[in-house]
Amino acid sequence: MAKKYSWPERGTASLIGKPHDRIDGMAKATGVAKYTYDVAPERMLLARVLGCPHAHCKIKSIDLSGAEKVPGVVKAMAMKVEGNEVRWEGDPIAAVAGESEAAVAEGLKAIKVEYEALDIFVKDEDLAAAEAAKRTGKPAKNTQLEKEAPDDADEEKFADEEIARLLKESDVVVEGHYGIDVITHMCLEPHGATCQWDGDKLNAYLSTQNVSGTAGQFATPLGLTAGDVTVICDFIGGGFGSKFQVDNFNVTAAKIAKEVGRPVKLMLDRDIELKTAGCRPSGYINVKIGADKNGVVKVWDSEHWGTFGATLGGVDQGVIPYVFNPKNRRRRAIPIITNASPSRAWRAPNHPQGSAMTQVAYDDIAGKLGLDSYDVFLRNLPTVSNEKQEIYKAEMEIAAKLMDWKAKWHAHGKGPAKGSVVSGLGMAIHTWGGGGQPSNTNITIHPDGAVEATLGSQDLGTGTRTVIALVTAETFGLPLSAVKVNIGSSKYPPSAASGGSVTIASVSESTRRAAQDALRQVNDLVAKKLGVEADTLVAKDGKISVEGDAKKSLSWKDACSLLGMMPLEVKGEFKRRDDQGLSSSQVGGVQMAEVEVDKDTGVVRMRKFVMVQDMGLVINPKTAKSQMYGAAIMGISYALFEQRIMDPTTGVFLNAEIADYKLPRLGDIGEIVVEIYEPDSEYNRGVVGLGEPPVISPGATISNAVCNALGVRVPVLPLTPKRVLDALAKARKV
Amino acid sequence: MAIENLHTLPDAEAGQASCRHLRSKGMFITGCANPAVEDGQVGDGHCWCNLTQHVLGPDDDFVERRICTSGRSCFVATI
Repeated sequence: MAKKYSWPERGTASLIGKPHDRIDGMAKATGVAKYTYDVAPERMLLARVLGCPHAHCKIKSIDLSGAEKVPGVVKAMAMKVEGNEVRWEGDPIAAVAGESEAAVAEGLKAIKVEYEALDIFVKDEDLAAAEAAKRTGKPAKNTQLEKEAPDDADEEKFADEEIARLLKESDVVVEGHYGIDVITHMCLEPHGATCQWDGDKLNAYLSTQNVSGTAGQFATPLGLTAGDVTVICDFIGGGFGSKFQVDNFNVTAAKIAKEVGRPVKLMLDRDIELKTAGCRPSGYINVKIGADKNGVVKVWDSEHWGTFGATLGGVDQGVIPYVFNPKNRRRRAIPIITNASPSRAWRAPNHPQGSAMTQVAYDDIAGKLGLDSYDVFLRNLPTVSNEKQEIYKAEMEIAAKLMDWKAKWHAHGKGPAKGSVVSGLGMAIHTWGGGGQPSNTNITIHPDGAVEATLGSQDLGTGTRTVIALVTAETFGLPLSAVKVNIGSSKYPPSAASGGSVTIASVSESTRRAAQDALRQVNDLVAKKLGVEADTLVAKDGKISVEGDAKKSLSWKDACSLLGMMPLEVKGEFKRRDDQGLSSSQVGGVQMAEVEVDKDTGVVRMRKFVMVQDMGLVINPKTAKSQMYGAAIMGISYALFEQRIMDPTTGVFLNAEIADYKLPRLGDIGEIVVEIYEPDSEYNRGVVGLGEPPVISPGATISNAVCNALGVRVPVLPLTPKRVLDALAKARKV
Repeated sequence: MAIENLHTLPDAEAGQASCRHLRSKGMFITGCANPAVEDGQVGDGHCWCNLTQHVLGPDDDFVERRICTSGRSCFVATI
């Protein structure tokens, strides 16, 4: 065993911390990499599902007989039974498998279903309507005040009076309404699987961010044990939080495959994908905040609501207000139930909404006082909830330089105009946990010097293979190309699902541990051969040598030949809170945006977007920056374009197609500048992760920039041209 | 439970065990059966049933920590 697990001291690493291309980049770029959608075993059938056309109904009858008469259809299978209640449009009712796409499409059309329509509610932004329709859940309340209520006081009455007093004594009060609409998951590769039986054992090629956790999810509904199922996901075309579960349509694909004795591929059509495979909850807020003349918030009082869709929930009150934590605050959260598909985790659950609903209010304080937003954010840093005040301050300074903030700044609505076009700056800050979760890695060293790292992880876009190879190669003093990485099978040692920004910390932990333990065993053999103490040996440049005496050394291959005839296999295990300094949690970040807004058309154009982000020790800055670029684009997308549009009468999702669900094009993105903040204090914390954090702030950042340009708040995201024009028209009437 | 009755849902009783088949994102990240207790941040509140792989359980009712408890017909206790 290694004496102590550690990372190389700063400045001594050969590979870690330097930019590297993805080791699977060429395979992905050339089509050699096989995604779930590409898997096509011989004699495979194609399958699709029939989604319910109604947002709320009862199934009176299902008749599949017509489908199975369609030439080319091999099997139709019901997924609902008579009497079932369907709570949202697109929920799968039946599946059809056939020889071709055309046959399956005809088969789906031939299914006859009788429905009994039920009442519909989808207006999640309208709290009064939700209350009238009895679609609100029990409110969650949380009040924290600096002044304690007397023992005999009515606490609610005391809070009312205390908050009223604090607001009255404030130099400035902002009363605002803000919000952020539901957006849906839009993975390039939709949800689905190809299921192939081998006797009584199932091989499931599943698009998943949870390789180690999905075999059991297939097994239970199929009456198998987890050991009878192998889940394989070599490459995934996006997950973002929506692909942790197996889903009933994939289980149905496995059932059909078993029944017909042929492999079945069932991937969701885009419209069903958007209607049923997960979305991000909405959030709307009414808030009153009081601040002093410097913009420091003294009291926060808010009520927010939103929907998880057809299940109960909403944005957690713990993120209200976001990052900032004034000493006097009262939050009330109300969940709303709608006839829309249930939400699933969407990259940083709760945080983008918390940010977009509250850091805009802080910016409105700056606007009302005529102060620089930068100064107001800076002055409120002493109230941040995560003890990262100094980190934020340093990141703000870097971001401001990259944006040239001080030179470009003007008070809200007071900038020069070029015709109808005005420009503005905005900023926001964010936080996230991340860190390592349980993970196991097997390191295999072969007597010929070959090295393999094997674990049941997945690459959700994090560059997982590359990071595992880097950690392994660094430990053994080998080039990156010397390490083979095996991930993507549930038969490999279990590793955490990719969610919560934990993947890189988790796999780095278990891999470094395994590699250091394995190296110790190799070093013992080399020490004996060279007649030296094992503690004096270092692995570097393809050799194991006595530190400071390169003459006493063996090449890596010669060292591995000492293993004899059989490979050495060492398991590295990381359990949560097993802290030896390889990973930690909690990161921060600062973002700034520069926009142009055309007051005649309402169109917002991104000019520049700056992101400064800490993430602990950075294994591969190139893939880390890649994640940040992706987050910026995703953030610009939900700030300006993405929006689920529902028909309030029928509950139908009106823009559930890739052509109608608007995403940005390259020309909509502008210049993106990313900067990793990694001083010694961050490096020494170990690996944390950054999948989520950089996607949190864009909504508030861009909204604040638009407000700075116009001098008018566009209250709800996305900031569509219509909403911009509506906000300007409303301001003119006041 | 009909959709219009969800607003009457009571708070979960402290320490009340959830069904063995309850699943959520946080469970697969932390490895814990109850990630709400262990670490709230990685979860998102979205739950599903391991038996149905859907947000509706075998009884066609919602899967939710506060409902998937011992009073429900499809409830299976965790050892």
